[in-house]
Amino acid sequence: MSMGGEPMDGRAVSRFIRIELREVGDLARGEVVVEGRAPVSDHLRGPGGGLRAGALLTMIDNAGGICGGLASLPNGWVVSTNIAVRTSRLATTGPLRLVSRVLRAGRRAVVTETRVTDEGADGAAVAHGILTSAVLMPEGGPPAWSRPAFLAAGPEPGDDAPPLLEWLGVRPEPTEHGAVVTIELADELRNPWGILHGGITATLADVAGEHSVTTVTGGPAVTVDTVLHYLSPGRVGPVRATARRLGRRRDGHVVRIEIDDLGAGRLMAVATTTVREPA
Amino acid sequence: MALAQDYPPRRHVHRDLLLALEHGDERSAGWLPATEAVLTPAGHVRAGVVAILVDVTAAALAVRTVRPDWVATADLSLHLLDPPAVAVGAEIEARARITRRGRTTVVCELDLIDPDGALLGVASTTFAVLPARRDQSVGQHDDAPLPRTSLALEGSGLRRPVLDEFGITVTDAAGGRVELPVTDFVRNSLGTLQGGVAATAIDVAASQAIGAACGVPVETVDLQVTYVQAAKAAVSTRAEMLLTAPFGGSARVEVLDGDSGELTAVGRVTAAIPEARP
Repeated sequence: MSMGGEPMDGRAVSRFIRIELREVGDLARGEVVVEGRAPVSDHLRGPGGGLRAGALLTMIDNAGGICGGLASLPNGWVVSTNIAVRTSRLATTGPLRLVSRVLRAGRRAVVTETRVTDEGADGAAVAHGILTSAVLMPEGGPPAWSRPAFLAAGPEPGDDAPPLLEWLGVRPEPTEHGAVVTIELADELRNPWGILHGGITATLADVAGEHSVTTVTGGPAVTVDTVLHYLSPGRVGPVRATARRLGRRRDGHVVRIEIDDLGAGRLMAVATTTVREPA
Repeated sequence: MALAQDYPPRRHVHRDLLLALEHGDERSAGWLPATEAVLTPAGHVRAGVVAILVDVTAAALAVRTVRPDWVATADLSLHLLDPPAVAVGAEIEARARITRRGRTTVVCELDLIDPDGALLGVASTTFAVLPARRDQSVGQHDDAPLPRTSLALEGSGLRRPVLDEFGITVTDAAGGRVELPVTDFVRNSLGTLQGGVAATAIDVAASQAIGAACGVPVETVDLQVTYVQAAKAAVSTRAEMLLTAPFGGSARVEVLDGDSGELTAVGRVTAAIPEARP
């Protein structure tokens, strides 16, 4: 895999969600902590009015990924392999504050934990995420960073920013037991490795899962819990998420999702989500 | 990597849960009978015990896939559907398949099925591949299909409720503080705490804390565990509430090594107020 070269390459997704990342850990002690800040922009809101789970997972993948990557230097850089996120608060004001810490930094894998709080609601807890990443050596070595690392949010997308799903070009269709969602793999959806951004994969799981519930209930539905395994990189496209509703529980519907790179003929990711019908 | 000799011992969680395993081509199945000792007050098999079935079945499949290398559980997730009470003696079946076979990790997915063939839940696991040492033999590499084989020996079976057999004690329910000694009964083939048993401690810690926050008993319906490092001596847990809601709630649980105080696993649990047992 090639990393491009500049840390800012492949950051269109991060700019779209408007996350700013800043390394705040005590470098002298070898501590890696990354703090993120992001507004709750209207273009990232979902059907329940709150931040779309896919946008939240993209933020956590970003902050946790940079944290895990910095902790892996100079042995390599990271590729997400597993993300698990629980949302505890749907109504958010913003800006959101993310704090990512390293739970384990191994030679081959790094695990980070990210807590998301709402600065606009007295620091109320919004979500909790665990991201596991594989440590790989990019061609030409790991990206060069000046430490402490800082990634700016980039320019405001403005009032005319397309809603997230429109930007992705999402095409949802109902099926007998759920829903399928397809997108083209546009260049701006690629991460610095040149593959589909992990947050976008998570967003597809989110949207397909919600549609599989909406198809049955006719009402709004919101993803509140996601466990996702990244299996192989999305390189070609189109990318399709197929959701199957497994059953209903007191706290929501349990949905299983498979995500395929149709062009490569390869299973990219599998996920299980809990989708709630908001009161 | 050193494999324990004579594993598992005569008295071991895998035997006393009366687990059985079957191996096919890139698939394995495991069975767990719903004895009284593993049921919750509402008549469901405790989620943590289902996690043991998941871990054992998936690990057996993963080991067959990577031989002569070995595996260690890196993460485990379990989602249970709203299940009816299971009849005592009925078996839960876990059907495991390989979803990804990589150089350093193996991902398995499992379906959990009741005796009538209804889906009880789904699970997934990631295993880290531990390369075999060249000077070490791990015995026969017989990957031929294996018909259903019980891990139980004559006289196997839990004599007390499963948490008592594990030695799990709750020291502070609201704080999700639980203690668990790491005895030979709950060790894995690498001599450390079996991942499913760690998941059981997380299940207990979280359901105690969430139940205390809700004011009524709750049962774990979702369990997600990330294993950080092996636990060797004894472990303790502490829980932090993430959410309370009319249905129940969610909590984060840390599993700490009793000696070093270091983090060995982190779990996240959602638990719900169960229907009353009929």
